[in-house]
Amino acid sequence: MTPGLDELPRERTRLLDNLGWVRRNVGPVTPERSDALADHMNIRRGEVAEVVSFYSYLGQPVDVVRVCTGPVCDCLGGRALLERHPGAVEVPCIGHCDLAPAMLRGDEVVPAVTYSTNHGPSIDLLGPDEPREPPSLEPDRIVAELEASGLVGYGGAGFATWRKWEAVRKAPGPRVVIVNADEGEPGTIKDRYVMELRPHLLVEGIEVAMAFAEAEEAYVYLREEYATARERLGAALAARGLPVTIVTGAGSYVCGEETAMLESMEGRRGMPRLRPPFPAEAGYLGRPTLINNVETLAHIPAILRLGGAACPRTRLWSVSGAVARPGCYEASVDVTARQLIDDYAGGATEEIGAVVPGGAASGIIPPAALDAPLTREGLAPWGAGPGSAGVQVFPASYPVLRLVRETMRFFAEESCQKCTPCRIGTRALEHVLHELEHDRPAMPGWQLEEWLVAMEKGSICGLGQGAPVPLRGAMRHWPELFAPLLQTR
Amino acid sequence: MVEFTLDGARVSAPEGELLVHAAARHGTFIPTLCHDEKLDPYGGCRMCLVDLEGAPRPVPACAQRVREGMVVSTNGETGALRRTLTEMLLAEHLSPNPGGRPNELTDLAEELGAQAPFLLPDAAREPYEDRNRLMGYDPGACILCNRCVRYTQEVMQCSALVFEGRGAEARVVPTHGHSWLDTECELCGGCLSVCPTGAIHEQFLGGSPAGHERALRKTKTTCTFCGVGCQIDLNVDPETKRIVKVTSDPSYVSNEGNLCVKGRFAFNFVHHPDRLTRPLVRGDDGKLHPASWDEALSLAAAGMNGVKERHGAQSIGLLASARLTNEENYLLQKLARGVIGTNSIHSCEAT
Ligand SMILES: Cc1cc2nc3c(=O)[nH]c(=O)nc-3n(C[C@H](O)[C@H](O)[C@H](O)COP(=O)(O)O)c2cc1C
Ligand code: SF4
Ligand code: SF4
Ligand code: SF4
Ligand code: SF4
Ligand code: FES
Repeated sequence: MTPGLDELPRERTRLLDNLGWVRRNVGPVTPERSDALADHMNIRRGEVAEVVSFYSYLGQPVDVVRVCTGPVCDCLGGRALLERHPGAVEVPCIGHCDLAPAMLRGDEVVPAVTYSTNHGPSIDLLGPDEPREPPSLEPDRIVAELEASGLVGYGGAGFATWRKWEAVRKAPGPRVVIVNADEGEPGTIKDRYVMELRPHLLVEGIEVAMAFAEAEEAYVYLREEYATARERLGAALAARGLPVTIVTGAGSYVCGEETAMLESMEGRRGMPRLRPPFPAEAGYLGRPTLINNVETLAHIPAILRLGGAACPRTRLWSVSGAVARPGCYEASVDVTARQLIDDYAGGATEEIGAVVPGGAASGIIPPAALDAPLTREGLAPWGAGPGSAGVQVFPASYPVLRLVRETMRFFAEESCQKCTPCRIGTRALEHVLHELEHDRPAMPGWQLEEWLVAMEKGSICGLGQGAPVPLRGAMRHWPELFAPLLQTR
Repeated sequence: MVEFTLDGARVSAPEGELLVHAAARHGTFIPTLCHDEKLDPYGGCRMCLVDLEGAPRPVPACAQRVREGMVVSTNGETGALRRTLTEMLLAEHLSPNPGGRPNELTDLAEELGAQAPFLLPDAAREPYEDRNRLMGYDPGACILCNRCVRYTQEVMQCSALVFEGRGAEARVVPTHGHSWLDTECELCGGCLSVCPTGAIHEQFLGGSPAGHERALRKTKTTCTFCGVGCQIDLNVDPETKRIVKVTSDPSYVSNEGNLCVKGRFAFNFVHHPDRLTRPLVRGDDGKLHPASWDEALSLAAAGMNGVKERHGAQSIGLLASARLTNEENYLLQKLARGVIGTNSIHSCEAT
């Protein structure tokens, strides 16, 4: 009934791949195709069906038109674009915010991809990209250099890289390396820039990580929307003959959360695991697993070559929204939003209303904070953090309540539904914001506070824990918008 | 054994025991909704969150194993958290009583004095109706605790229910939204039995008043359908004296609360007018007439002896009912081999 299906591998870990294969080579994964694959893989039908339903794209034809209504695209006309394309599906941030409003026609990005970037001392997106022998250092030296460099994870959580690497080495092998290339954080395009412009540099980082962890296998979990990155990274991996498998996602933001990613790779719904154990102790198939973001790994060759202390601390800033040259720029880790906007991105195109410094859960800062260094310490007084460095510049004409509501809608739609505070809290906050847009208080302020605390303290993963951040930021910097909540008791 | 501190008191428990169980043994009841002893720890509903010294945020007692020296507090801020979580669940709990089953969420809400500030605009899930006549599912009562689905995967291994979708569209439903009858479901009712809200309920009891099951009188007995001998509770309506439903308790040794379709749902015969309640013997008029056990058994024995005399013992074969116990099967083969003299004995369970 489904030609070619008999040839597909039967290991459960290949389920997501196989589903992607069915979608690409046969057609959208219908219940019949889902059952046929389940029977072939000897997995019970219900368990495949619930995996299929978890992802946004498996039921869609490969040539479907997808229009982004992530916050930047929404602000720059995504909804009008959607209306002009009947039959198109609405999707959250597709990682092309520099082209906003962006859409995908199958694998093709519309408008065509252009790069706006600069030379930098570490990754150097404009540098020559070719296969290179990775630096080879003793594991202890690597940990020491990483510590000296101050490198922290650039996936969003900002965890000290050397600590994670040390923990993985301490756990007995076999170990696994996973590259987090899911880049789902709205406003974040940097990993795509790395994979499209410097794929060999990432491969070098992967090689260092694999040698360090003595890992015989490695995986790159890559978001489905990045067809060009898939191609270029695949070629670069082949050039070095590495045993690295690219796992292609299927449209789910939470699968960027490391334990959800592990579940997804093991052929289950991408629902985050309880921690402990941490992936460094028990990750993919229970093995100690080193999970790093693309950009984190791409910084490591320079750090090891120049020495941790000597290597300038930079990161890749994705700058999008109301700026003249949206793009991805390598700049110091303590750059300010104003510097990024004026010195790199060609200046603001409109009066700035608000800036989201680093992805959906990083907070919202007012124009008064434009000169704060975009570091954890620099942003803390503003109730924000640097997150994934996805700097989104919103014009004063884009209402803050709408920005926060759109963000909350994103969280609500992407919530995996495992835990109550996130499952219901995100939808409730979207409702509260919607009511506020109509000057109606959905719940008293004191109760809202309790709900926010329940989300922050009670959610399993960073999605639910972080979802209140933008709302709190808005309440702090634009209190007048929330006045109706205070009138109720 | 390990020692740890629970709300200020030193207590001990076997190493590795789940905190929620250890606490219960020491008289501290931590509410749970998604937890089920039969299933792997899940930690989804977050109702059982407790404070653990040194942990960055509260931990679920249903997934936390006891450790030497750990310091646990169940009566701090997590009390407020519990009320908030209950409010949240109520914000989409459209249908608190689908079939008279106990509803642990509304019980908790009452105990904590929790009320929803509003009903979520997207609270209503796709309606679901099933053409089977035993089990019904009301999406409006479901709290997505995933117990039923995990039961189908971890215990029953039917995987006939799925946790479908993501975000507000997520729901629990038989695979592909088909009828239970068109999936691998065997209607064992196990998923129903673990549901904390009654979202999955006995379809034939739809419309029963809230808490109906609690008003029933339970009589513990053994299922008569097969030799497994599952322990069941006949739930009898004290007014009508009729069996209304069958349940089973996880503490029952032979079956741990699990049943099959026969034990759980096939109890109608008890009150059926056609049910045989005493021996009947066919008279010369060709009709069946009530008789005593002695009469009936002697007649059967005489009949069999007649066959044996005319055609030999090998002409007789015995087919044991699947409903017999081991001991009864033993006696039956004694009858066959020792009394009748035939080796032709079989059980219909073996086919
Ligand atoms: C909801 C959610 C989504 C995430 N998405 C991504 C992602 O797309 N890419 C990424 O690198 N990290 C993502 N993370 C962070 C990962 O969980 C993890 O911290 C990271 O991959 C670790 O790598 P690093 O230490 O190099 O940053 C996400 C976290 C959460 C809670
Ligand atoms: S916080 Fe949200 S995304 Fe994370 S496990 Fe809970 S429901 Fe899933
Ligand atoms: S009734 Fe039994 S067989 Fe049917 S879905 Fe529920 S657990 Fe599975
Ligand atoms: S049907 Fe019952 S057991 Fe299943 S998820 Fe819903 S509330 Fe939980
Ligand atoms: S018929 Fe089913 S419920 Fe009854 S004893 Fe046998 S297995 Fe158990
Ligand atoms: S009972 Fe522990 S999280 Fe649900």
